[in-house]
Amino acid sequence: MDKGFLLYSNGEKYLKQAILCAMSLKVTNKNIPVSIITNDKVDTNFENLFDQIIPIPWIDHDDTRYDILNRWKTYHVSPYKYSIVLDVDTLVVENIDHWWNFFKNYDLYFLSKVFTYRKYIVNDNYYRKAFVANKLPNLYTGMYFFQKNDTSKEFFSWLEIVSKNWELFYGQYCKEYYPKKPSMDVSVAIVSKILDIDQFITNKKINFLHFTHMKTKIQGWNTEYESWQDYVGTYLTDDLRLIIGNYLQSGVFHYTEDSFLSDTIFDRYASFLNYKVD
Amino acid sequence: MDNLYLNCFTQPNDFLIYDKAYDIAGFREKSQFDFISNQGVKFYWATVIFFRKTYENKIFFDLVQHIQENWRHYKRVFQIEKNLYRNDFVFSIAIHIMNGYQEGSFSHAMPGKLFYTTDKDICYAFDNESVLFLLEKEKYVGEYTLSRWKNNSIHVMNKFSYNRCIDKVING
Repeated sequence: MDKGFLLYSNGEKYLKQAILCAMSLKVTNKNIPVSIITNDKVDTNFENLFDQIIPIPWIDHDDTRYDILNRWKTYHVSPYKYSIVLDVDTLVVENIDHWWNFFKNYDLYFLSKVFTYRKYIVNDNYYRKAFVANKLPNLYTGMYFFQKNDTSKEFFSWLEIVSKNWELFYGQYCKEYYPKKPSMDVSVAIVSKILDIDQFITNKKINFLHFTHMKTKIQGWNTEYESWQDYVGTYLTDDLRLIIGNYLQSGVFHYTEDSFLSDTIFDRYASFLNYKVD
Repeated sequence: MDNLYLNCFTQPNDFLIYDKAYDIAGFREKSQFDFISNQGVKFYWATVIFFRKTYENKIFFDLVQHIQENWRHYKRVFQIEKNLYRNDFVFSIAIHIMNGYQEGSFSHAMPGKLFYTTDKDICYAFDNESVLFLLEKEKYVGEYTLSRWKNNSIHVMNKFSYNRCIDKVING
């Protein structure tokens, strides 16, 4: 198959998020197949959202606390030549067909720029102190692209090595602000640094890939609360336009907080697509 | 105090407004003029605007009137905490709505830069070419630096001192 979206989910909570994400893709990007990588049972009502339901292979590491350590497998199980991988706590709120054309210029592509809900480029390093202090490439993995070829394979082989030995690699490449737990963003940045390819897997000049990152401290607010939902309201119209704090959202919306996924939002998407919710 | 605004009439856009302004004192915090509130929409300055009488601009001004008449509602929806009613806020909200609740092209920038002095500064005197200000010092409240502003338009926020200057000119 040519191209498709991939979602990785492990656990009931994430499965519901993945289903919502897949529904958002069906609304805005309905001609592109979506596959899910999960060991959980997908509700039969929603099975046909997915092109393929792929089990997470090779569960061989002892440390079950950190599911992030399995994410390198995404490359190897993808049924597509060209894949866009999305975090499940995202909604794709507009058609992004033209992004594929851009991504095809790259073997793999990670975002190095994310946006606030007001569509300003995030310059705040509040959550990126380790990247700055350790001179790691500022890459985000909430959404990324790869095509199946030797370069990508090498990258993900290295990601496997870093994931399986994260404490060793983080100790070497991320000594300052050493993360308490493994992070896909940090691991990908380390691999990029080892292979010295960050200039080939991202593009700092382009602004059209709108990936809205809703971590609270980077929204340009004088912050007091921990949750962005305490600051701005969410409004989802009947035709599924998402408005956050009076701003109509576009591109990919990374809501980051589990509590965002209310029954109202889930049911509105399900109802729009004529899915039955038990 | 200059002819910069004549350029408005020879450019093609139907609605012009400043979205940035510059405090001539240079040191004061101005993030309050980035957005209409902490979580709010982009701030525009209603100080100087240019418009042509078009159908779209009629909708805009009707919307401005509607927001003004329902200010309590819009103040709450757009999360404005200050009790102050400002035309800047109303115009900013109206432009945001005209843009479809996102960044858009309803408005374009006025020519040149908008300069201002705050209500903490004193307008001391003016003539045909220049304005004399007393700009409050950064760390000395009640102490001022004398500054002459020449051949450039400027937005004076201290209306009391400005009115005194006007009275002086009128009454000689």
